Amino acid sequence: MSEKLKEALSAAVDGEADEFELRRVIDEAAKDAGLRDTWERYHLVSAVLADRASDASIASRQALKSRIWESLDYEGANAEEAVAEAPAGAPKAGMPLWMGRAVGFAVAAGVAVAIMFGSGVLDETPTGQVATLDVQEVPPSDADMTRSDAYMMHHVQHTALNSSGVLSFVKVVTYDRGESQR
Amino acid sequence: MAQDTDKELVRRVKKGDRAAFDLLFSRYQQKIQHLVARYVRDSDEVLDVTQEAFIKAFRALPKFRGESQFYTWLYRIAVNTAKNHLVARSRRPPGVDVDIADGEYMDGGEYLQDSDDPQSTLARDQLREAIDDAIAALPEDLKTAVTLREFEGLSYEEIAVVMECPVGTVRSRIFRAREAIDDRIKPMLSGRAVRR
Repeated sequence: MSEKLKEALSAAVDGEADEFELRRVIDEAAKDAGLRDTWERYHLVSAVLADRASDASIASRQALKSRIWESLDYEGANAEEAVAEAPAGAPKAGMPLWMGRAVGFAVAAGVAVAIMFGSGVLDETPTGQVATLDVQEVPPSDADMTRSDAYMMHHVQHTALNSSGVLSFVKVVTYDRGESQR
Repeated sequence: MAQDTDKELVRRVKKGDRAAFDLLFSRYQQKIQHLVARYVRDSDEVLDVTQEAFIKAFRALPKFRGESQFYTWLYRIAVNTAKNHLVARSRRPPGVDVDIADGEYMDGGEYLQDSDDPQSTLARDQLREAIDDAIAALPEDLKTAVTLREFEGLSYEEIAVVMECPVGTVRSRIFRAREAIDDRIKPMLSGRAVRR
């Protein structure tokens, strides 16, 4: 570390270094931990003289810097992990955008076909056999209808009085129309 | 101009230069911690809030357009982080708000000083004493230059006018004064344990 460089560092601390010097100081500081430590001590002296430094701030300066980088690195690692675990169709670093879209389309098409087969849409065998079994339709008696009507009216009135929106009123109107048609 | 140093450092950080962020951190850590101590009394919490403020600043730096000075922007982040911390802890922020622009001139270190243990306070006082001794032992021209710079905040050009010498001489004198102070404090700082 040359005297000239350290003098430029001192000037940079005060914002008095010229553009070329400043760049050189920062370039060298990136490579030289000793230069960074000197920079830190110069600022520390200023803070102490201005009564802005507490013992906690003096003692914690290295630990604090480490904690900040640990935290930022942890976030960075998690972000990279998230990219690595992204869905197969998501474009990855180095993969052209069109290829990412093509992969996404292929995956979506595959899932759609799987659902169609799984749900029996393409299956020729009827799956609703239980529902199509012969069921004897027995007309309800008048007593059943009266009791059912009473339950229904009670239900819709309760719903209308105890909930917001217009849906419950629609039910009442619909029911009443059915009632009048009978 | 001081902000030119900040501008260059910010530009480097935006390009992914971690060392540049280290330099920014070293440049403002004491000031930010001092500012945070104005809001938060517990020294451990001060560390946490300071850490969070710098992390937020690092994350937000790509969006910093340089329309305001960097330190003003950083101070605002620190103040907001401290206030949010107090709200999260269900404590009210100080009734009198802190003027961001005056942040570096505020006296707020007493909170930390109160909570420091005697051993640590002794170390801090020793550091101050060593710096004062080093300045007192300087030749008169170096002492005047560094005093005008550190205590009065004068620019090199202003100091040159006061001392009736070229700006280059002022720059050299301040550097030599700093070297003398640094020689005195370096052994004290290198052996200090980190308290956490």
